[in-house]
Amino acid sequence: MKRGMLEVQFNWIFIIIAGAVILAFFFSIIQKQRSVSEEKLSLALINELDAITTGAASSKGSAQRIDLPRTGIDFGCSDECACAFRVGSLSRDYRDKIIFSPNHIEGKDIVFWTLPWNVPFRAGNFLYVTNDRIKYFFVSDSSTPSLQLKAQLQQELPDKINAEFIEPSQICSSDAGCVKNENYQQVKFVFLETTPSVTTFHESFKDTDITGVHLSGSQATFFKCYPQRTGDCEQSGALSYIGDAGLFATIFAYDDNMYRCNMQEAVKRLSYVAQVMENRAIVLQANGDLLRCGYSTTNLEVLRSGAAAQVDALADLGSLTVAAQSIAGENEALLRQSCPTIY
Amino acid sequence: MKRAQVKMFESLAVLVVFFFFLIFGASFYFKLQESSVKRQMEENAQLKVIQIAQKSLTLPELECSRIGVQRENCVDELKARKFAELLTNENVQVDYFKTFEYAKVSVHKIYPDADEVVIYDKEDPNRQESRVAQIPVLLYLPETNHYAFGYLEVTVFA
Repeated sequence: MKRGMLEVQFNWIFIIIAGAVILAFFFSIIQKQRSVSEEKLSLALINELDAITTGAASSKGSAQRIDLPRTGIDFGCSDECACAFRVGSLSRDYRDKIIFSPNHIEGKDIVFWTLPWNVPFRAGNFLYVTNDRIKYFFVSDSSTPSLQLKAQLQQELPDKINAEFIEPSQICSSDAGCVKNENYQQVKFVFLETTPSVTTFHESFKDTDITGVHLSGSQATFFKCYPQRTGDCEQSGALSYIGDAGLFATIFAYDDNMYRCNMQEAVKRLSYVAQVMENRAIVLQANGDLLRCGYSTTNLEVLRSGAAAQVDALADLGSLTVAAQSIAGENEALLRQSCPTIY
Repeated sequence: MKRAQVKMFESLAVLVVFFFFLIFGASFYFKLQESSVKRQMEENAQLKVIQIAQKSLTLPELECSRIGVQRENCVDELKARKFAELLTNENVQVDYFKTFEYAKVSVHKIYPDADEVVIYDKEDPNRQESRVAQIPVLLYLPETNHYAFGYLEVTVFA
């Protein structure tokens, strides 16, 4: 081989190696930048979501629609009740927020609805999350408790919620007269004081994430059916609820675990708020100028100790209703006497 | 020096100049990114102060209410004192960490007389910097059924 030919070959090898190094360098920078901007976007979204949920949780009785990130949002609580929402690879815990939501939400927008939890004074705000890809079927029969609950929900549910009221006979498998899944991502069946039948859905529900709750008295029994299910749906043990906000919590919570974790936090806060109210009432009771008002702390004490006892099991929150109603009565009496009220 | 060697040195010099500009450009870009991240962190810290102040003002443990109707920007002084007492319990303080995090929340009465109730105070041992938000509030004094003027001060260690 001549010397000139060797020189040309060496030049080409040099160019190929240098080109490969430069290409690899730019490729790695692009990859890095891509993952960094994805993380940045997720962080911005999660910060925004955190600010929105904090704001929504502070404003009572509001329903607002907000644009949803393309990736959707995951909500969930672990068995140890570490609750968090997730956007992309980043997650943020709920901290003190009480959120009842589906486990995953995607679509164009997201609806946040806030209600105060009054027992009888406000012990916190509940934040409910849903959107138009999630459908709620409310199943009622002709019994009085069922119709009463149906009337209450028809009156109180905001228009932005995708709700349909049906009869138990409409949950069937034939094409005529049975409810079908019209391409909803998730469907929740809420049985209002009527025995649930969860095995005879229409074929269109086969691949749908179906959850449900059976409301009876102040007890809620959750069930969950998985996509491509082959057998019966899974049913949880009964948990209790109290107040209108508690009723809606059972409806909007994805499963029993989400309900239990958030409700435990709420009940714990109720016991603290009740303690502040009780100690405040003790001071007012001892005030010589207010002796005519006749402050009593018995019911506040019952509510506080009852709530503290219910935190773990949530077995019978309905038992707090009597104390809550008595406190409401005492408060009205104080108002009539022009005395400083309990709440 | 042979011709081939000169050519090789030329190519190497081009590569060196190329990488020099690349590194210069990259360092300039990363510097810009760093300042943007710092600005974002500052914004987040300020947002956190506002969020904690907003939460404090709407806490049922502090709010003034009459038959369940909340009065905007109003703190019940007696509730504030009892809430502060409750928060001396370490377990309760741990539960309220989710709400206040590393912060100091206090209510200051300025008219007719001056007074201060420190509701919650937990400093971050790893941070020296703090940001403060002061929000004017009406203070309800249930024992006399009167109102006073004051402000809610939230200092966040972030």
